[in-house]
Amino acid sequence: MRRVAPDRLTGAVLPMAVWALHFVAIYSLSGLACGQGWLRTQHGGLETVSLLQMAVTLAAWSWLSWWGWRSWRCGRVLQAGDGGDDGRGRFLARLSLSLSAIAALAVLFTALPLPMLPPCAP
Amino acid sequence: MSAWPPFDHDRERAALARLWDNRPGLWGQLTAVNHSTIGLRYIATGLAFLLIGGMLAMFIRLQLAWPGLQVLDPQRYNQFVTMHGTTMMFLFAVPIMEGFAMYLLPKMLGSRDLPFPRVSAFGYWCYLFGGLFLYSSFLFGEVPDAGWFMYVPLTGATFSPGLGVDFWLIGVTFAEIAAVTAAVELIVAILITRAPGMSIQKMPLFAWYVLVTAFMIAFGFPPLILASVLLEIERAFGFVFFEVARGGDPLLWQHLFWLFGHPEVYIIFLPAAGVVSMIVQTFARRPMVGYSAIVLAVVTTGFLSFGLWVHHMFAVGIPLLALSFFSAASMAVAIPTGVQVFAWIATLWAGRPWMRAPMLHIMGFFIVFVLGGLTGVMLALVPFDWQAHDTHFVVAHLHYVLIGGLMFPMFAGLYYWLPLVSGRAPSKVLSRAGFWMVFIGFNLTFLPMHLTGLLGLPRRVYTYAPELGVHWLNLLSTAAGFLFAFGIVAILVDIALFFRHGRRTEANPWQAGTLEWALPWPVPMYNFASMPVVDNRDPLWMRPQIAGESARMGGLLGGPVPAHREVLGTGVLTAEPEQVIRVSSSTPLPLFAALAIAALLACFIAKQYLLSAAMLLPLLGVFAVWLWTTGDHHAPVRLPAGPALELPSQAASRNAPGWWALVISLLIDGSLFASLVFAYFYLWLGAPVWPPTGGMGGWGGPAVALALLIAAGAAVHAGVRGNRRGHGVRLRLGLAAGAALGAGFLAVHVQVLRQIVAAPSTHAYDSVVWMLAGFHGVHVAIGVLIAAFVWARSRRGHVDAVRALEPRIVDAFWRYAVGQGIVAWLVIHAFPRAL
Repeated sequence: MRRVAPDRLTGAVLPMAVWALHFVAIYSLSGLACGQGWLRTQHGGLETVSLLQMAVTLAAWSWLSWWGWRSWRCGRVLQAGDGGDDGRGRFLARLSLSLSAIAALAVLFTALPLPMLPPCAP
Repeated sequence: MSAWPPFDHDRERAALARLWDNRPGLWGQLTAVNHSTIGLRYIATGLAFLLIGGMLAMFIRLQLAWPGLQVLDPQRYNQFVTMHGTTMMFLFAVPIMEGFAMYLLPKMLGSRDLPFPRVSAFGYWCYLFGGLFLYSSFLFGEVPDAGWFMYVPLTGATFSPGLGVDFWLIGVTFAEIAAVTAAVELIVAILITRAPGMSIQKMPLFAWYVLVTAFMIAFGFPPLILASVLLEIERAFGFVFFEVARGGDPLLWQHLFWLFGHPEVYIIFLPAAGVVSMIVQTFARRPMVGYSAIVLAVVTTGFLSFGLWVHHMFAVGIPLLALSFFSAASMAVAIPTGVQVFAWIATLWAGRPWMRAPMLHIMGFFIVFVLGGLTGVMLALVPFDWQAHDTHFVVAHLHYVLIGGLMFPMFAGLYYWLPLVSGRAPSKVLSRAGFWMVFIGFNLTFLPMHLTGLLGLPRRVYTYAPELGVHWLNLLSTAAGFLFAFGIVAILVDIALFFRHGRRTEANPWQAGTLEWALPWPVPMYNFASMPVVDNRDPLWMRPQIAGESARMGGLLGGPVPAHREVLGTGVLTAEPEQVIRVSSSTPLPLFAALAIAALLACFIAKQYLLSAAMLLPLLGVFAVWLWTTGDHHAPVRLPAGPALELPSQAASRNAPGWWALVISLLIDGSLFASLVFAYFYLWLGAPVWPPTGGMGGWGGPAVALALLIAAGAAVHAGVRGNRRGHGVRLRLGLAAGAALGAGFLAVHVQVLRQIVAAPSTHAYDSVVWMLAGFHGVHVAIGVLIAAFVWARSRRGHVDAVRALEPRIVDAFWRYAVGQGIVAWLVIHAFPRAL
């Protein structure tokens, strides 16, 4: 049996775990830049650290979109065939889809200031 | 389905009652482990601490009633403020909600008990003794006085040389054992002991709330436990983590504290919101509108609340961009909270609401909590926070959130479920009078504080200048504070009275839909004679006869009564019957274990460190007996579970409670370890040179140590594989080899570290490296002890290829210990070399 899929409990909450990973990643990158002075070179008006943080954001967004799409498909398949599970899989797939959407929003919301604020200004 | 073989139902039901009842007398109370007893005990103790914490608050209010008063001298004021916050957060809010969950969940989920009754009792004793430990500081005149968040450097040995801080760190950590054990207990209970048919999408919402809360405890409490341990070690043994002169960083404390402290707010709020969800649907007399949306909101809150901690630190000088991440998450978390509020309103709107005592408090909750949430969004904005930081505005906000988010739902819950416990109804007059006194008193106490705060009244200061012009508002707060306190006393008196003198109620007086209301009164200690089988979210609304069915013998687990207490284990998602879990009966072991810990900590605070270490022996002894006698190790592989139904015992089941307890415990432990790794990197970030002395030596020693550790894990794993094929000897050989290699690793690694790291008191680097290695070393030592235990169990024939739970546990633990060791090794040995 697949252990991590949108119609299982772990898979359904995975999008929020990705939000958390994204959060830790961009905050840690800020720490490296401001605490140790790493990744401070400029590229077209932005510092390396900001570009990296944006790349992480893009990666998180891509994964969340893919997972959301997978959850949606999973829910459709389960809706088409009854599945014999009393709607359980559909419930979890729907939960997974909604959590993907919320996580994607939260990732975007968190990352919104990245192009607007310098990484280490107090 | 054919029936059980014929048996005398009345006689067996009497036997079931005897099996589940606590023993008589005081000894019976001391040895009780049943969830009903323990849950009520948590609630009663929590209410006692509420009164104590409330009394402290009254003194604070008296002191602040007018400028220049001398009700409390400045030091006493600091002590009372500290103890008020600490009591309310750690000894009232968290434990009382655990009490609700422990008492209610098995009944609501259709089970007979929680899966680890001894752990429930142990947690309770730790909570009680931890609380008493903290309050014993009054006897010694060493009361903690550095604020409930214990900021360093104020709490370091230089500025707080007395024992007050030690009483706080040790007492609170002792009491936190209860939160952590409750988290394991509740997660496992919700995952694998639900009534047959109660698949995951049919769980009562309260179970969802508690499930998410318990996971939050699992990830949220370890940072504080670690921080407390670090600070205590710094104070007791001269290690360095927070002292700037030797490479430490006081902000590390704030990060670790608030990594716990913010999720803590939701750890308190979510179970209370679960209570609200249950009450709202009962009194709206219709199922909850948006069940899925609420589940979604609860899961989202559980995660997002971990991204808020720095909003308590907006004023400490962190770069703006980083602050904006936390500001965003702080605003975002209002969205799932809003979703829940709208779902509750929609449910009431769509239903035919019934205004009774519990609903009054729900209405109070709506108004107060929403106001607190709104000021929360204001404080999430960095520029506003800079203005209001450390003023009474924040005091007002946090009391609106916590009293709105916890106390009103808690009173609603008490009124709602007490007829189940007492079989009686509350008095209409007193319950309404109590509510209105609390509601009006609360608002008049705290609403003015928004204003006094904005006018500049600082928090935690024992008096203020008359020129500030806030004395009338403060006097109003104090007067209203007393009204508030009278209201709480009135409610508690009402509750106490209706236990004895209330009007008798019929079963299910609120006509609720969930399973706890299927129980007869007085509620039998075994809850259900036969396990209820459910097929929807509100079983009692859809099929009222379920009450009668589950009260009769003859169904699942309703056959001739065995010699051990049994709980039905069901599938995580499907809730199909999977196993028969034999749980422990009354025993003094949890009490003894908690007493041993209390003795150990008492010796520690008295600075009798050798004696304290010696107390580990009785503690380990009690735990060994505990483990050896837990459940029923003589249970056959398959046990009768119902008419013509046999199921595996837990020792032979894939989803055994012990297995899940291990998984959750390792999550908690992993969070503790991650906090320590975070501390390492945080200290590195602020250090100009790392390691401060430069050299790291050769790779040879570290490589040998790592090889020994991996070999230990591999030996245990090979032994466990042998057991799977039925070779008990190979299991024992593997365990013995693993234990020997593990001990070898410890010896070699200590030698290696002594060559490359200085004494811990030299620099924060040395302290954190020794701490990291020591933390992992303790795990290897525990792995050796577990291996010895399973070795003995295999030797005595309690373990084989089918009853493979214990080998699976030792294998998984060692895999975790090796994994943790590899990470620690990379951090200690590889990272500084790579710099």
